[in-house]
Amino acid sequence: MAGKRIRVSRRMLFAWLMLAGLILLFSPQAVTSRFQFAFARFFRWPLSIGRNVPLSARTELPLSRQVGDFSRKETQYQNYIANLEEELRRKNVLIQQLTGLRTRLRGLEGAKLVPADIITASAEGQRNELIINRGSDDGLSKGLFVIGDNSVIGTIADLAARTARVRLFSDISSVVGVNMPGLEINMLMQGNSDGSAKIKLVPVKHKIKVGDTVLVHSKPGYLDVSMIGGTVQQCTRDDKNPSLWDITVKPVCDIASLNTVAVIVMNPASLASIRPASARRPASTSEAEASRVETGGRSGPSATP
Amino acid sequence: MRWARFAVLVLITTLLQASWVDEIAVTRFHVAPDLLLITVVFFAIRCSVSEAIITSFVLGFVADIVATGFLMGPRTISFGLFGTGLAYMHRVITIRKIPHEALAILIVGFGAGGLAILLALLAGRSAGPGSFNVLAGTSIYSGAVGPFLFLLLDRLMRIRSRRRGPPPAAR
Repeated sequence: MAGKRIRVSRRMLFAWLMLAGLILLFSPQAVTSRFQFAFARFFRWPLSIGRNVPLSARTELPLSRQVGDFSRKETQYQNYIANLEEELRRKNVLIQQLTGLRTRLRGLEGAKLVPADIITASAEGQRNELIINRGSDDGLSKGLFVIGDNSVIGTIADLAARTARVRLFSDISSVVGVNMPGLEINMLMQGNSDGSAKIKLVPVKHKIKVGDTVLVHSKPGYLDVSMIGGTVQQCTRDDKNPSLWDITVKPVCDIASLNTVAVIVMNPASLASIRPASARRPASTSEAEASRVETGGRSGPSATP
Repeated sequence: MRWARFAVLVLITTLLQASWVDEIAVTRFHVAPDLLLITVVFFAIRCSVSEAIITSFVLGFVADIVATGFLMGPRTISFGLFGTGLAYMHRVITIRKIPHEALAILIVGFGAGGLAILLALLAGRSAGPGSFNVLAGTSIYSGAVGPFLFLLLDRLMRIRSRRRGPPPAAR
């Protein structure tokens, strides 16, 4: 009796498995995404190895790698300068207006930057997203902005306890408000799913040229100051409406070579008061160091007065 | 069927699909071969129907896990459906030659990929621009690479075909 095998007909087997598939399909995404987060977390090490093992034909010579490192550093500094210029412009506007409102002196002065390693990255193709090794336990929440190489690259789209999915600005489902220095209009930038994004509905009366900086618009509570998100790669008249620009924006950060990012938590004090004490973890030395790197060598995160 | 070997093979294929396969992607649409699709077709034409049903659904589930976009179910259903269909069809039409195997991968790739996109739309997830271009590219790339991977999989799995056929004495 104990050795009796259970026989299931092919039809029943197929029907049960099909039913399981349908249940999966119509289950809430918050439930099914746990499988994917668990996979990414469990196989983090082999997945990260796979990302860092290119084909031999694509490996670069040491000299060219050095040049690549320099150009990356240069890009980081250029992005940092662009952010400073934007801060300067904002401060000039504030001084001119003399509103007297309290504001932060620097864009990220009071912000906590949560450094995170990238587990998997998909920067080209249908979905443009990252999975990072920080989650709700680290104080993250949906909608927070993520920066890499001193530029904003996306927002937190999904969360688990120790992992999160970052939707890059180049993803088709990403829509974010942007502006450009010197242009007093707000624009919407939507992902193009090919590693770039599009800005439409901009009248041609505005002078825009290739290489112009595109700043992600500030969003109270998430990003208190506009930060660089890309540069204009192409600017042509819209085929359907020639009175509008069709602007293609290229990220200023090479996602494929990125290994770490930082999540901007603008009001860490208020978040800490909301989160339970058990969920709080002191920032390690590496985190503090990473924060200093991301903030351009400034001192560690400090609370807003 | 050696299920332990199957489990190890699925694990390795999944990790390669999730991490390394982008390195051999081509065109601006980032077209890469679908190793899990190739594996589904392999088991569908090498195993019995019952085994093909199980392997197709399992590989579909795994394909859903490694796929970006965070919607689960479309590939489980589409891989299961087309893997099972191919296994039944293989009882009538023998698929042994390399061009036939490539054609089988191409057709299953188009069918399963198209069905997965439709199911994703049904579940409220939009298909991005160029989805069908990527689908076509992936199917063709997988069809071109697949038969050669079959040689490797044959060595690894050592599946003895139990297809119905005329007994040796009758030949």
